[in-house]
Amino acid sequence: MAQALNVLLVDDDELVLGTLEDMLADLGHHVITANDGDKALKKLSEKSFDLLITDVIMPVKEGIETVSEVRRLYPGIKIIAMSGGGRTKNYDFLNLALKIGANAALQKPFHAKDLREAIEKSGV
Amino acid sequence: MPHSRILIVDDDMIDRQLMKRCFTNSGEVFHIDEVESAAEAIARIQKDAYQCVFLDYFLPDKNGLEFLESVYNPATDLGPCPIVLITGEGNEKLAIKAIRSGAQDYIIKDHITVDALMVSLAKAQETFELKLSRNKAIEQLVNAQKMESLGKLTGGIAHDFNNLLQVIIGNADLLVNGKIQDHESIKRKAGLILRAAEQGSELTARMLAFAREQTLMPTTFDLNDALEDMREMLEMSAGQGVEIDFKFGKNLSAVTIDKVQLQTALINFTVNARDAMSGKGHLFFETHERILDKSFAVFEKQTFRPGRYVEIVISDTGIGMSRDIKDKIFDPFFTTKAPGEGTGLGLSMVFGFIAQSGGLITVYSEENLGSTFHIYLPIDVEEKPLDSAAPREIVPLRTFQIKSGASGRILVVEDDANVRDFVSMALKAMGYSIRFADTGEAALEILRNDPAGFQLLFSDVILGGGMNGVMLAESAQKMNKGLKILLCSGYTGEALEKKGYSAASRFPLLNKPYRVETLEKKVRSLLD
Repeated sequence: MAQALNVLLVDDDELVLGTLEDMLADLGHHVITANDGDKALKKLSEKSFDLLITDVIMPVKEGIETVSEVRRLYPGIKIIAMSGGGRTKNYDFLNLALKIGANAALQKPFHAKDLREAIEKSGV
Repeated sequence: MPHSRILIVDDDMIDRQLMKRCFTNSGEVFHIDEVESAAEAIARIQKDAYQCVFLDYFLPDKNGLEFLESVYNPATDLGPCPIVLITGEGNEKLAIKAIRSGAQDYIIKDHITVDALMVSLAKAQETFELKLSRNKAIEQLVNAQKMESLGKLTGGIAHDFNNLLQVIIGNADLLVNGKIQDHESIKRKAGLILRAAEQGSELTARMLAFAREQTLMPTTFDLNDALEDMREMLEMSAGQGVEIDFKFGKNLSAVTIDKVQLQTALINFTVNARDAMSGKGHLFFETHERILDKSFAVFEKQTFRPGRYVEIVISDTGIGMSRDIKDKIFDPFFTTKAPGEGTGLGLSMVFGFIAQSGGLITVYSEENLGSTFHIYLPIDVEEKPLDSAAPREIVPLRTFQIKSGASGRILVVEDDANVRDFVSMALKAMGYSIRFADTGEAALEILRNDPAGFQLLFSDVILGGGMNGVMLAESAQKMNKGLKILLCSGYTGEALEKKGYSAASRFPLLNKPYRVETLEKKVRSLLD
């Protein structure tokens, strides 16, 4: 691992959040978590992060909206969008996230290796 | 191009010759078959495809109407091919009946000419084709809706399962390849895997419930007793701001159903009602014994088995639903709640459970006025379901035993076109003449122009526009003191009172959905 990153991890599923937090910690990164887009934006305003990893289908503030807002407010931060797909038919939210400013995408479920590669791909 | 194949069904040789000559003289080439009886005609139709059948009313073995009924398919509202009835002068009433039984046109025997036959043939074929394409369009729409539902279901399951798999794969990956391997960390990861697997198991249980394949444990019990036992639990689910009222029907037959699942279903309705009322309002539980018959099919699109049911009515004073939402509430994964608050599986599971138990659920709702759910649990029902997915206009009202011979004029105020058709057929069959209005204002205008012209005002309570049925009834009686009033509503009298329609109790009320017999009894008791 090149460097320990400050990562903001956003997912509405508590179990997923805990799991990904452990996966990122195992890769040696510092992780702060949030369970919706509003809380993520608040945390971004309080502290500087190298990387945002966010689910794209979430309550309160949809992930897509979050990605777009974070890209506008914090042009330097790298973003990885992730999704379990499915709930929104005929619509590829991950591709949309990439179009509006995410640097890499992860389709759930993924392994630690995929997570590491996505972080590298994001260019952080 | 192949020749049009025509079948002439007539036992009179001279008539057959006349028709054949007309076809020959038309300038077009036809292949014509002739038979003399209904039985022969049925055999021919089953064997060969005809572009049109010309059917005489008087046949030696069956009359034309009986023939039509024997080949008529109520699901498509069509016979096997275009049919033109040949009748005598002055028998136009028969012809109209024939068209209702699947013929497309009629022709008077004494008026048969080349032109008349050709016009009739073209008209019958065109009408038949139109109906066929309409049926096909409906079928495609239903299939598309099924596919959309299935897409949502599989999409929703995929999303939830991928999250669970993420937890399992992520933690298993860390257990196998991770750097941090202390006892606490291993225990935490194994614990997360266990929770994900348990959630997966709950998800499959919910899917099975929706697929109507869960293991049910039916017992026989009295529904009123069961509701009384549940009172505390329902009150807790509803929260302090919601007042619950129970009204138990007398002498209910026992139901045989899975009691635990029924309790879960009722809690589900209660929680939904609480959310629809933002935690404040009235919730009513009522029980009745009801007979569901063909008239029920006019109101509800569901397939059901006619017979005796125990009914639970659950009515709230919440925000209600738009028609669009109402149509979707039993779809899996459909939810109006904020993401994360509701899975959208609750009502679809309840629907699955009730259907698996041989019952049915209907919903009545008006925006801003609340929703009423009717759950019907079977007591004594017929084996064969009544498929009301068949085109609704063909619900055969002639099968009801309506006494004709009444007289009087009724002003009917109803904004639902299907209910209007039903009421129109039923009241006309009784002998009343009727006029329709779809809003309170329009009805009042009609009464203002003709204050003594009507004996009865029959109005829905909830109407579009500013004037509801109760306001209309009060104004109408001021204009004409002798005018009788009958109100109807999908809400029960108690529910209407709590919704602010307190004056509704001053007038007789008919609860929707109602049977023809009930309508007949109410109307006759007021007018005769």
